[in-house]
Amino acid sequence: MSDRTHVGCGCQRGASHEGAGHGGAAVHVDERRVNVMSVRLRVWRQKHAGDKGGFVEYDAGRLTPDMSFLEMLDVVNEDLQRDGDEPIAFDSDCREGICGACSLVIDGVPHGPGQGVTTCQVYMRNFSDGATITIEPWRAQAFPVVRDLIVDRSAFDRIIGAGGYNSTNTGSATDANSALISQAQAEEAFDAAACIGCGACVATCKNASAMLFVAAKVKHLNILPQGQPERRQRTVAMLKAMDDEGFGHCTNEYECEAVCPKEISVEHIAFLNREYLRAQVLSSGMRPVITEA
Amino acid sequence: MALTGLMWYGFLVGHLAGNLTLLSGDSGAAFDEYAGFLESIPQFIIPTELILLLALALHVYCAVSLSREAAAARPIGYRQLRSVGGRSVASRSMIWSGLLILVFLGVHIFTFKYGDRIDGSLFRLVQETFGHAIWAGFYLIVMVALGLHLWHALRSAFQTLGLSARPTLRRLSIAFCTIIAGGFALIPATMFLGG
Repeated sequence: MSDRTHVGCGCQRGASHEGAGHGGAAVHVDERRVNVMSVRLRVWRQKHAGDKGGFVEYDAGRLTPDMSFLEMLDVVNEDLQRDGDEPIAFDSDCREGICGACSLVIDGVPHGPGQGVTTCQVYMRNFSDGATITIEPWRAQAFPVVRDLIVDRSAFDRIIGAGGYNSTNTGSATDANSALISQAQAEEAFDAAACIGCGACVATCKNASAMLFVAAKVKHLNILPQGQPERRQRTVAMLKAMDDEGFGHCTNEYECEAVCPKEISVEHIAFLNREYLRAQVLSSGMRPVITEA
Repeated sequence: MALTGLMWYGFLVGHLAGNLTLLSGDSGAAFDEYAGFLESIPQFIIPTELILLLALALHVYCAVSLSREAAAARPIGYRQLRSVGGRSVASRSMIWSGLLILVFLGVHIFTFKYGDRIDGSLFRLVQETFGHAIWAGFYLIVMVALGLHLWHALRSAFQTLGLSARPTLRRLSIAFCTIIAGGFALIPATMFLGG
């Protein structure tokens, strides 16, 4: 069973389940999985951060178009483990497009085919039977590969730590209606706050820039009353943290907007640039903004 | 990048407006008069040239350092990376179109600013130069590169300066770069065909 052309078939186990009397539902599932679809995977495998890594090909068979892309990988991994091979390591958590954990570059596009979707929302029906699918990890100096397709995205956490917060009074909660925010303002802030921090913007940018992420995080706080006390420092500190982490700069190609699963607009980057100019030049009277605590 | 680039944009508008006198059909009288006028006000021209030179140096310095930074930000590339957004020939080739324009600038200044005028007429020198297919062709190719550079440059500048990335401004960038590059291209094309 070490022959990799059989990886992912799973039919032998299905047959034995049926024989063991697992019931009609199991038979139905197994029937659906017989030779409906198969693909060839070209997957980046890397044992650890220091490993050189390389592409390994797998034939994944007996799939169905209704499977999600991650379920397809689960099937492949089940068979790899059954054969005593190391499963393909990849990130996933909620599997409903809201957590930002899944992160695969599928055929050269972060989160694969489809607009406004995360990797877990990609289905096998997006691919033709017999297709060869290339799967790579996010590539950026600031996102080092931990193993296979998993990258360390803690650089984003450090950017948030630099300014993605606001002052809050302790003690009894303030009245919810004490800070007046117009509906339009709330909607705009929410559009920015929809960012799930997956890092697809960095992955697709030719400069591995995190501008869209930083713009979204700065904006949703900077346009609300609660975000005003740290407004200037936030903008400058988060951009500085982005540079310090080794992300590139924005050259306005807007690939980020196109792959963003939450369809965050590059208009937020224009806002970030405005905020930066305001913080550094206009409202500071050319005095530098102190970002250190 | 944006501020220094916009300074050169301003220069190009003025340069094109002045140079279109080459096409006035009066055997260069208007153009030579215009050139003579510029040479008669060195107190204005020399500082302008120095400012533009400084802006150019800053622009090139920023471009090179940002390109190096971008390469460092992704030391290991993808086997496959597909564009699904706004990446264009222009945006991909900014550093290359920029370098071509830089080389062109040297050649252009050497040829016309410091070139030997024919009977004291700059128009005759321009006419003679663009009479050669190689020179006219070279200028036309560079104008295509210039057009691409200016297209991505202007829409980027709007964004970098915090204005907007709205489609209206993107369309405005296309229109403006077509006028500038097309206008400049008209000069060698017309003079080659006309003479």
